[in-house]
Amino acid sequence: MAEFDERVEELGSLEAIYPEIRIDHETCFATLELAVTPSTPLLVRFVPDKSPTAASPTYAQATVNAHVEHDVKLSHLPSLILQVLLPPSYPVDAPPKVLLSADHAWLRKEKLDELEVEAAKVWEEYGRCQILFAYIDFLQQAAERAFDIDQSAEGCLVLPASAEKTLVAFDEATELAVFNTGHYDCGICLEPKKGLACYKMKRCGHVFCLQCLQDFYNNAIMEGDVAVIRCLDPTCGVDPSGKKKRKRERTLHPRELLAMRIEEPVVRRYVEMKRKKKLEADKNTVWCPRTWCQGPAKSANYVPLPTDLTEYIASDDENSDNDAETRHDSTATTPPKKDPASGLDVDRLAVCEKCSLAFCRVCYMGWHGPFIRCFPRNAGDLTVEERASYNYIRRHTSPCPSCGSPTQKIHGCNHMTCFQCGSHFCYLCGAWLNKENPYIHFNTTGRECYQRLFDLEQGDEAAELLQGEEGREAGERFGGIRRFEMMALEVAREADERELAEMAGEDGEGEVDEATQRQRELRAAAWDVVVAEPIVVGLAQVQLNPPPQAPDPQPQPQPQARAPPPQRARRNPFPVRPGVGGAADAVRRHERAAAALPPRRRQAPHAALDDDDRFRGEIQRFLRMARDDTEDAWDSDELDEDDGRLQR
Amino acid sequence: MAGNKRLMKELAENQSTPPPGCKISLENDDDILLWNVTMTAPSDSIYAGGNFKILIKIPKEYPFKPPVLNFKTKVYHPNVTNDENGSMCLGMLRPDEWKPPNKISDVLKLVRTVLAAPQPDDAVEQGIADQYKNNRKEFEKVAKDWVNKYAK
Repeated sequence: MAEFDERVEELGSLEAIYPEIRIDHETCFATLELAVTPSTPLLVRFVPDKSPTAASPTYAQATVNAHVEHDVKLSHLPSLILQVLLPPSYPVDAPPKVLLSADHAWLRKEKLDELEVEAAKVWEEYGRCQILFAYIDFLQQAAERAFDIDQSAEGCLVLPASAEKTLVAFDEATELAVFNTGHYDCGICLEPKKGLACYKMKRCGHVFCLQCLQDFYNNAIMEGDVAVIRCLDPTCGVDPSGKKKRKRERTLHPRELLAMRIEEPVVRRYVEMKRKKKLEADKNTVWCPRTWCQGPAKSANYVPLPTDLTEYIASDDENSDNDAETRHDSTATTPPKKDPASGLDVDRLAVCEKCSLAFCRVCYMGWHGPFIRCFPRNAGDLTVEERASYNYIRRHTSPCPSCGSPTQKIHGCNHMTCFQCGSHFCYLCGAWLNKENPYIHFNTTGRECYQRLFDLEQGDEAAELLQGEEGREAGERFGGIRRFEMMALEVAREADERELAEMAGEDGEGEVDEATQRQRELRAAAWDVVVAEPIVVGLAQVQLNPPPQAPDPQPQPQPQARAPPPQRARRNPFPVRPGVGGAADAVRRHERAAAALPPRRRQAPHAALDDDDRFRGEIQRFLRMARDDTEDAWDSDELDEDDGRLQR
Repeated sequence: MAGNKRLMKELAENQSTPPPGCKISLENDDDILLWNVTMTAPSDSIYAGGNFKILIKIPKEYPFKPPVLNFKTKVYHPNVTNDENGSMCLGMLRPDEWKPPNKISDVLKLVRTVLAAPQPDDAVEQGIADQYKNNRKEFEKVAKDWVNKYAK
């Protein structure tokens, strides 16, 4: 029998203790992997610098990198690999030869050397005997203390950022493997379950069985109860100091729900509901004006949901009161994309994220470009100053025909050049002018601006001042192109009033009528000042003095409402009171009139009557549109076809 | 349903080792969703000596939804409605605060705690709560009266 070898004996007993050890009995060489699971998770700082591990980074370096370095706490680190060669003279005359290494080079060379040297020390200490077990035990204890790395100058392990992915993945995988082998009592079904059938909450570590979690969350999401999508442990979210609840318990990240194997559409519904709730709670959210859409406008604060829900960026309520390590979620660090051009308050452009309609977030009209002055549709939303400036703009400016910028002339002729876009236009009527020969506009006979190049030379404000009492009138003589706007508004207002008066005066019609009549006349008189343009007079004449062939049958059922006071007839451009009921009534009247006609007379004048009513109808339509601010869609050519009664 | 299995378990547990001061039985033997509890008030509380009948209605969705509690014995308490229902809605019993791992025994423990220490700031009977805060003597007198009248 061969000589008794202490080395073989020692390796044999090690094999019994560590079944995973690999031993070459010939050469007395052994390899053993020692798991590194520090009792308190090790703080690891990943620094983007190329080789901060080579030399310990100085304080300056650390501060320079402060904005990019990344701290992570790891509970599991790659194993420490111990290789031992027992020389023939071991254990009496020579210490074991040890070589230590670690995957991904996360332990520094100096540290490994230090640990290696310890083998000889232990051998001396123990009086030169079999010390492998003692040494392994020493290593394991050192590993539990994370090799005292947290006692070093940096207070943490510093590694290049390139190592982060592998180390974090290793940590997670090991964690999961350890978890899966365990057994847990689910607090919901009160059954013991295998780790594989359970899920551990990321933030708080509470464990429940997958079946219960799925049942609960699926049910809650189906019922639309977003707030309960949180950890189910009763102690979670309760302040340890008292019974006070935190303001808002954090809801779960969709990533976790997916990890619980809850189906993607369900998780998506959850995230969508969460987002919608936040959008609805946010007073700044602008909603699409299309009634069939009503989607929210795109906003930098609420990015659309990513196709991959694990990439979902949890919004503030989940991260605000968070502990440092979860905030360093790789997804949470990328801030939502911001449109560099959007200083939200200044920019009025809103784009619906559902139907992509571009609209103005102030007036809710289709997008009108950045230079149009617009105000909230509801006049009640305006402050006094806003209303004043709105009125001023309406009264004293002309919009550029190209870009809409409000333009005010303080001095000079009525040939304007837009300060924004350089378009040439007429200050009086807003017509776009050819810059080659702009003055032709003022030199053509028959044109409304003929010979008016220098009207209001001092500007309309100056005219107002100069003429004192008369100033108001003079000032209002300038209507610019906006006079139509003003007229339309006035007409709309009158129509409203009339409606009200009619409703109020159901019984005592006579008196009310008289009062409103007077009021109206006063207003109309004021309006007449503004409206003195030939084209408008033309309209009015056509409208109010119907051609004789218009077949108003003798027994008119509503004559009194139809004929306005004669002194207004010539000047009022639009049928301020075209008969009670407006367009609809016109149609009705037309029908009645047609019915009242004897059959033989019906044929011939029919066309003329139609024309007249169509014309009136058109005007009514324009007014309606003007009231809704949609008159841009009105095609004035529709009237031009009208047999030349329009002087144009 | 998973809840039923758990409920059987809870019932067995509660009957073998009932929560302090409680006796638990089923209202009907074939209905596990209706529990009958007789709760003896803590001896150091003003309700000492009283035995209160409490009916616990357990929803089908239990444990995802909280059980509903009714005092069948009238009790003068700011947190119990002074009507034929004798409802109590406090802390974990609120639907938005209920969490599935809570058990019936936890609920009963809470009830007993609240019986001993009313929470006037979370009251359902504001009048009683005001009295509790401002005129403790009168409150205690009425409460004791009621115990003698209804809970003996």
